[in-house]
Amino acid sequence: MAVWRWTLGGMALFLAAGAAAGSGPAHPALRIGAPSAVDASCAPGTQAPSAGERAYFAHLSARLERSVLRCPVADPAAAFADGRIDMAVLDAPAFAAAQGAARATLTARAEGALTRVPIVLAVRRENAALDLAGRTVVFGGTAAAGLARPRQVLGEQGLAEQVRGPDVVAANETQALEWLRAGRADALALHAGAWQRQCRGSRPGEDRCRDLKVLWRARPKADRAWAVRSDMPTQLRFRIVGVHVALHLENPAAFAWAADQLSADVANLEPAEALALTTARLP
Amino acid sequence: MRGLRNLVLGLGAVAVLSSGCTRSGEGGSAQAMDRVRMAVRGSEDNPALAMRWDAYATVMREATGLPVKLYESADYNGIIQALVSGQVDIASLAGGSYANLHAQIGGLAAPVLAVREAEGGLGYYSAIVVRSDSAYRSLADLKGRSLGYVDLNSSSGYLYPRAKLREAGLDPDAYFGTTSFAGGQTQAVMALENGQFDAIVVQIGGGTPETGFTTGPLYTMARRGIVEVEDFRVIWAAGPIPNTAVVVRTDRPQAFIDAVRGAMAAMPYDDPDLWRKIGQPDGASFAAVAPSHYDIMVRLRDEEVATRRRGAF
Repeated sequence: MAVWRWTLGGMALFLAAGAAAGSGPAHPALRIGAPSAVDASCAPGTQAPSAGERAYFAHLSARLERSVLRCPVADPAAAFADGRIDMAVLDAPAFAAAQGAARATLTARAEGALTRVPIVLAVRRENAALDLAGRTVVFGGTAAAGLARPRQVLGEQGLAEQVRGPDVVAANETQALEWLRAGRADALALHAGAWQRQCRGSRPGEDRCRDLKVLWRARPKADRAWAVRSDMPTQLRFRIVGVHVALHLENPAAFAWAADQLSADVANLEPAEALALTTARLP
Repeated sequence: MRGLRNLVLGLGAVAVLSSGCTRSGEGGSAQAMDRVRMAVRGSEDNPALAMRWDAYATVMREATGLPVKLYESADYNGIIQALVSGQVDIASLAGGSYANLHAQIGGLAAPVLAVREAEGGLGYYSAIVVRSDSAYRSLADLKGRSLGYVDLNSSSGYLYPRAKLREAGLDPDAYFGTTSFAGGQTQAVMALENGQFDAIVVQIGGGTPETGFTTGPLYTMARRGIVEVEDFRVIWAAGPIPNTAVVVRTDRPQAFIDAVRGAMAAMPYDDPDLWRKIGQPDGASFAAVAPSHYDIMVRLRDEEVATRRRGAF
């Protein structure tokens, strides 16, 4: 009987030890690329050079329940491509060089600025095949959402100011549509919310813009983004997004460092579509 | 020897009992939950709402790897109490309802996301609506008339407009002839259409007083062919009221909270077409918010409760 008691106790300890070994650290470390003149071995984020960076790594490690390593890399695109890092800041050229090994995940929203609101370019339906070079575009007002943002996206989508005809700026989105329909402009550029507001009817199935044709919808291209490897498990990516979108509220020191890697004067980090660093249009 | 044996047995038992609480997987300690339970409002008045709850359930399932169960409530209070009791983990709550929740369980629940409109705003409006064939064109015309509220917990249909009317020097408890609750946004519109009230106060949004409004029960019901927008007239609007929040129980694993917040925040970027289909404003997105975002609603509710306790209602 004594032998059995010893055996049971020993088995229990053995099982518990196995479970403990499996439960922590339960996940592989997250490797974050850090800009460097030369590649170097990854090291714990606690050894990062600045207090803000150390705060960031500590915050992320606690929230993701795993080690988060700082990996100096000279070429983050190459590091993504050969699987040496899981996350890093990329700009548009680096994203292109990564050749699908990475996807954008977080961008910066500047203080007082809009998010990367999609812009809609539309024409009268009979002009669906019109070449817009040299043609006029009407905008829905002078606010940033109505003018500066659509102009930015038009430029990115191949209709820069020097390509298109003189801009026409209506007083508001309603007038912009009136002018398009009246022929005072060849095309209309509105942000997506304004387009929906103008086109959405108040009767079943009503579409107030049936006479118009949307040529494309596109978000402004991000200059820089926190990117993760394309094959990162969705659950992990969502956790990373969930931690970062609230970082400005929960850990200002960590946020300041993470945001600073993208640009100055950042209000918060926003999620991003995979191709945010390109001029890809929305489906 | 016997003592050492007993020690081994005891340690073994404790170790086995304490090691079985989590499973591996990218959900981390969220796996300590066996499912996600979300309380949702009934969606008879808006088919897009049913689609929205399903879409949220899908992303939460994807984010956590857990089954998601939706619990439908006919009124705001049902959702509040489900969160109070801990029967659900997450819900979508307007600011007034969150204020009620906060009064009951404080920091045990917190808002984590709210919609940010395309132009950057984080709010919607409250509107006093009359029938367009009525003679009422201003608040002055409604003195002594009947007013229908939505629900005691409604931000746009009770709390916020009452506070704004007081700010404007009107006592909402004395100014109108009679007031009562319609029981919901849809019910309020139908009650107005049927002549039960001279005016109602309901939610309105999808724009500003400058751009015009395109969302709210009037528009939702009109797009379903139940009413016609032209049969109504907005004579007063106030706002912006902080947008509806995604609220979570804070005693759930942080990994769960982070995962669902990330998954929902990513929705308009991962699938903008679905975002529109579920009735969210085009070009809008989810913004992370803290409890302080709803301080105004907590204050308004506290003031309303104090007013009622003084016997003014």
